[in-house]
Amino acid sequence: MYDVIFLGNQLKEPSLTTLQVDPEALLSCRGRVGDFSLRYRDNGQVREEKTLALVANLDYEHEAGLAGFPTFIEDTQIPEEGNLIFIQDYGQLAPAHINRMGLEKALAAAKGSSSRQVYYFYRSLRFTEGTDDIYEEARQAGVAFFRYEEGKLKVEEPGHLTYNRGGTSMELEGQVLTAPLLSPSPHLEKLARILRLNPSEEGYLQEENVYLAPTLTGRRGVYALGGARNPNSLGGFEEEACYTLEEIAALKNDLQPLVEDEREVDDKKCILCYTCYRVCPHAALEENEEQDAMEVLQEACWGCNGCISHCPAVAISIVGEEEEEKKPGLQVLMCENSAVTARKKLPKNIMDGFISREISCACSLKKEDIYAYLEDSADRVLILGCFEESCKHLEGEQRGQRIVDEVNETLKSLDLGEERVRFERLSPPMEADMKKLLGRWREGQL
Amino acid sequence: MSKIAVIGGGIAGTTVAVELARAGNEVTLIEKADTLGGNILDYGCKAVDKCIKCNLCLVDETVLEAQNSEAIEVIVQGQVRDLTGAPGSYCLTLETGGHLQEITDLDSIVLATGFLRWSDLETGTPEFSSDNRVIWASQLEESMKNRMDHGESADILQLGYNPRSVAFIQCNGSRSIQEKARYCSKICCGYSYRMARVLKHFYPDLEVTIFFIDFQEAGYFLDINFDELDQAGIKYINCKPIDVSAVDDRLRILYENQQEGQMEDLEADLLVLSEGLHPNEDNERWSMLFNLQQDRYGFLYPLLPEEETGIFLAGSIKGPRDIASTISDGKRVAYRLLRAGKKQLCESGGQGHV
Repeated sequence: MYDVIFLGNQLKEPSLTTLQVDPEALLSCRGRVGDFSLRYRDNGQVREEKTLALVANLDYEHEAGLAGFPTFIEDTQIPEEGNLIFIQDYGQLAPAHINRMGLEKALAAAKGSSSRQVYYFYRSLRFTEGTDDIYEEARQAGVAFFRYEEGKLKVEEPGHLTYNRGGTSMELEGQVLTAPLLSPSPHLEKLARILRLNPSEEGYLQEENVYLAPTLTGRRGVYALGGARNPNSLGGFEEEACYTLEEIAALKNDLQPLVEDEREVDDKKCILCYTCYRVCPHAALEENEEQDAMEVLQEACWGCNGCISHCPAVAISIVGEEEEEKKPGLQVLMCENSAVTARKKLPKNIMDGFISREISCACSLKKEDIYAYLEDSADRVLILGCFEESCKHLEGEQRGQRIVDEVNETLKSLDLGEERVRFERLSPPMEADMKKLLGRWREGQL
Repeated sequence: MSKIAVIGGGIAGTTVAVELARAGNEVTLIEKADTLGGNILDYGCKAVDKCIKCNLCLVDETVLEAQNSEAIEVIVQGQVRDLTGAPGSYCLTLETGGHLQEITDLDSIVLATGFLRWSDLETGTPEFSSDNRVIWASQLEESMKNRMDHGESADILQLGYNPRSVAFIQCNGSRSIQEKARYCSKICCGYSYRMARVLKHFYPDLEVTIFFIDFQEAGYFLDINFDELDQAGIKYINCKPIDVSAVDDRLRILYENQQEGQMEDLEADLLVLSEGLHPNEDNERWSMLFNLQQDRYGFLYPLLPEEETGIFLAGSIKGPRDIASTISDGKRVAYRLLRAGKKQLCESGGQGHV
């Protein structure tokens, strides 16, 4: 049993037991935080190891920013003699650490030799902690900085460059080093599949979501670092590595479930259709082979209830929770991650005239429940959920909207009215918006 | 179980307090204002048709938890007057509502008193302070706090007039030697970018221009990029304006078009000044009271290892930080405090290899 298995580069941490596994050799990952079970190939044999947490820590892929020229990356040896020309040819903003790396290299080159000139051409600079000082020092050490607009810098042959700007033009000789263009490691696709993570649009392991800062993923106990996370790591790698290792140390010290209520699969009802396995955004369900049924891994569960509402066999339930009493005329459903917090900041009478219910996530909505509310004399139903990027359960917003759309479509096709169900997005600081929203919903103006 | 006092009830302070309380410690949270929250109380969610990750929502729950947790005693309107004792048995003297009060037997103290806004400094008055068309970012925020868009034609700006064109000036109050703030404040780029997008969402016809020096990496998840600004119809000009004057009923902003190498004008009827973060006025006093060092700008850093002294610093008392980094810093401080005395974690952090 290890504390951390690093997929990719290993970090040294004396108080944690660590192991490195090549992402290419990874075969499967089962289990949950505190008890992951990893199978991988090692010298032609299949090995299995257990670990508390997993960290995907990979390098970025990179190619030259300007075709045909060497890039400056951490391993690049800077020539000791001759003029140097750094070119940061990013149309958009460069990732801050590339910027920092370029400045550090330029500074070291300028300091290392007094007989050479170091030029730094850029279209935009991006700064992060400490970069200001390096920039300042580089200027003092004699690095000449030039900003250029797209197309205004010509590098016609290796070592020869023409620069034009505002009537100034110059020609320079020197060795050109360009800033690298980054892309996700090719291993990430496979890792995302095996670790059951939802990758970002660009293919990095971390989805764009406010709850996942800085290195968390949707699966508890799995972290994305460096080139596995995102090209724009703010605080730099070291800060994020420390944060991650300290999180793992805290888990090692005391691993508690995230939610109090337990979810349970009834093994007599479960038909092993794997719907919950596919639906769960946190990879908290797995097949229990002994019982021939799915099983909720409590430590991995974030409590969204998505599995409960999606299970076609109605096999999953919250332990000890009694069948919810149907409230006639229910009108407002509020997500506990946004609307419920916002409502707490409003006067108590704000819900007067409404019958409301708290839900764990918009992904826990069930069509039949909404029909039941509408049948029970509610004229219309308002669902207050979260914005996509701030949905704690990653996909709840999309799922909620889809269910609402489907219900409205069905009602319309049966001539039972239009737009009777509405999905609105809120965040916890939006209590003023919530107040107005409720006011207008009450008056039928939405 | 340890007894810990956290000074400052903003993002960093509440995050540390909640983490420590969850780990079973007895925490006293001291806030000088009437309520917890600090700077976030003045800001509103920036979501438009989608979330643009201002991270404000992450703080709300923490503040509520700090308020309601049984393990956290919250003292509002409390001012720290004195510190006596040694690590493991510190004694803080507080003044609350004219009365002095002592908190004894403290194992550790966390200082999280945050920053000062540029507009709160006396020297920070803009030249056009009398012109109501030149406003601070926080004033824009205030005028937009009750914004709402659900199909209604929103009167969001609530300025008393409807501007046709808005300009933002970045690096105001930071990256300036005259203002003794050569550093970058780290939050304003992201703030103006989000605000510009909010304005563009509610007023599609509004002309929005952002003057900037360098765009900063402004948040764990904010990926400002020029293409996106272009698509949103937001103009960006790489220059800190040279002069602002009132001409007829509009503001004229003089700047250098660096591409062409010449001076140009931009007319606007609303000018929003970003607000740099500055060290708190209390920092000097803290440095003496808690044996800390001020850096050349006035932010604090510890003289001795925090694990030894039991005095920890969290959040923007150490230097400018945005919401996401403040939260992660708060958590890190809490973990470090819990593990104080044990071997330091992560001696060799490896490298973010490219």
